[in-house]
Amino acid sequence: MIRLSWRQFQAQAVVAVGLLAAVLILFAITRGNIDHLYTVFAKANAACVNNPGCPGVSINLSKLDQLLELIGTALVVVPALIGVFWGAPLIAREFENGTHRLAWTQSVTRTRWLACKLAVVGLASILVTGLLSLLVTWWSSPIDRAHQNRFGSGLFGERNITPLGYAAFGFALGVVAGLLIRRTLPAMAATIVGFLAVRLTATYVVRPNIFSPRHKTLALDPNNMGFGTTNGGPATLMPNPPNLPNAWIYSTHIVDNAGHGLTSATVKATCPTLPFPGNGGGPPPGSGTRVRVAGGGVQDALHDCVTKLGATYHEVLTYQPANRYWTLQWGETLVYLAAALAIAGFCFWWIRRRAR
Amino acid sequence: MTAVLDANGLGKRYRQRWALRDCTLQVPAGRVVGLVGPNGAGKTTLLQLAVGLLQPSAGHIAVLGGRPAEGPEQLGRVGFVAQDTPVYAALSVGEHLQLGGWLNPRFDAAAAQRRIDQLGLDRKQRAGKLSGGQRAQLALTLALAKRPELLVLDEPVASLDPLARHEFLQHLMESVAEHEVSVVLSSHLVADVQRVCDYVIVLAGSRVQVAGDVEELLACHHRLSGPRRDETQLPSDQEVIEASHTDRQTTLLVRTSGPILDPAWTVESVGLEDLVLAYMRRAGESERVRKSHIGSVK
Repeated sequence: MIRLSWRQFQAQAVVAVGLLAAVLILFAITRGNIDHLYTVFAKANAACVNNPGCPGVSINLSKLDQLLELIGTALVVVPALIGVFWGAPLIAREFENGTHRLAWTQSVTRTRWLACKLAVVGLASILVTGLLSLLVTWWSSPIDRAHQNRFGSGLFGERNITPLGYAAFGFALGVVAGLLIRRTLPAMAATIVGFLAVRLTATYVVRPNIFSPRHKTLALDPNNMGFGTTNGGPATLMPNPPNLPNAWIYSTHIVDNAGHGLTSATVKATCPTLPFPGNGGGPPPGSGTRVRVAGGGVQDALHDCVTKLGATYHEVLTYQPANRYWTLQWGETLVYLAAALAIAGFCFWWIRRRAR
Repeated sequence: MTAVLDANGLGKRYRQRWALRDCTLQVPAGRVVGLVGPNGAGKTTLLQLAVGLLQPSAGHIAVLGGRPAEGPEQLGRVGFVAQDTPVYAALSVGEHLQLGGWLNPRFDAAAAQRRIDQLGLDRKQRAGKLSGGQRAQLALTLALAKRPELLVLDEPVASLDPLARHEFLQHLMESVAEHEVSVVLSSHLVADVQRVCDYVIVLAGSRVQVAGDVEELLACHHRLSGPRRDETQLPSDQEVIEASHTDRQTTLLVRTSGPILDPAWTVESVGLEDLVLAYMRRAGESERVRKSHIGSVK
């Protein structure tokens, strides 16, 4: 039965291997240049650290490199595609063509039939995604090292081991949709909807709340302060993101000892000389949080202001420390793998008890 | 000898509708059994229950003394050709023989190969490009090469043209003679059944109407015609299957094990087709009566 499962999967396997080979070749050719660019960038940045007047260091990636960076994004899509094109048709197509009646009346129980199909295509799904993740993680390591933002909601799911969990889950979801719906196209549609719903919920609702974040109290730093507005609200002081490499920063707030936030009125009262946004010179109104590093003569006024405010106010930082990265990577991967196994278990129960 | 098929009170229900009901049957081994009945009578349901594709909602069924699809051993003893003879469209004829070998420990690859060559099928041709007749032959080849003790075929010739149908049944009969396999095949065409079967089961209105050896059935059914009279006044051993009356004449189809003694009757023998049709009509009649009864109660 393993041989039949493999024979039925052969064409799809060839496509997957071809795509992987193409990615491997492109990455192998371009990796050296990326590494070089970012080494130069890092050196220039390091030279700038203690020099406030240092001109901004920028990096110019070629069009091709920018395109290749998108392959990382493909890792978000690949598990969904696996669910839709490998998982959903696996059983639905047999039902649609009636070939399950041929398969289930050979001298092989349907449990074994399902086990072999799941093993061959499921392991292939994990293997293909794993190899792609390995390639992407390797190729983009210089970029990731420069950005120091491994928890970024895109990056976390596009590097290391999490894509394996997504692939296993996407595949299992496709299989069960095909088993229950029994028609290929509707099963494909159900798979993509279900997969997106789970992934988005897990990424934006579950992941940030699974470990309670840490809080850290910092004195106000005059050298690291800007001002801006949140969603068009009144302008106030805003700290620049603190230098915590690879930490996952939820928020930074300026509060007094009683925990009250710093208001726009307090800033105006304390620092009447500060050319405040709204009085002209500030960032244009608009949505989103805007932080702007003040420059020139404004810089001195801001410096004095922050020092004065620092007597009663401090900064509270809410974040996940960088060393929780692997705990979260393993945790999320194992949860997705467990979900995939639970779905597979359900498929066995269904095919033995209900699908007749 | 154990019955190849032994059903007791067997029934299958889909939600509210019974596809098969109160089916009690013993089919002896070594026979070629024809399962006839109108479309939707429950033929496919009965056969799928026999090969374990479906599970009964009521009653029991034993096939060759075992529970259908119980394990690899039981699966190996029963060959099945499903309705519309499904095959894997993307795989070639040769690959189908290969998969037969992979999935069946007793698979007779040499015989299957021989049969494919006899049929003139190209081993490299994709099964999806075969004609209906060729596909049916491929499916039959696979089922036979398993070396089953019982071969179950669900409407194997329904979609074939007369020539392909003839060839298919011809091949089937040759193989049956060669390997001494019991066969149960369904058809809604009595002519096909008459040609190849020596045992017949009439299924209509999701119930078994009559079952038995073809010759015995023909021997105990008679068409009686004579002056008009009430069919309820017949001897108690004569069961009326069908009755029709004109002003002066009555024609009956009766089942009896004894001789017809009343000299007023002209007695004729009955063909299989007429016999099957009479039972189907009777089933349709009782179905209508039952339905109108339900209607009047409401």
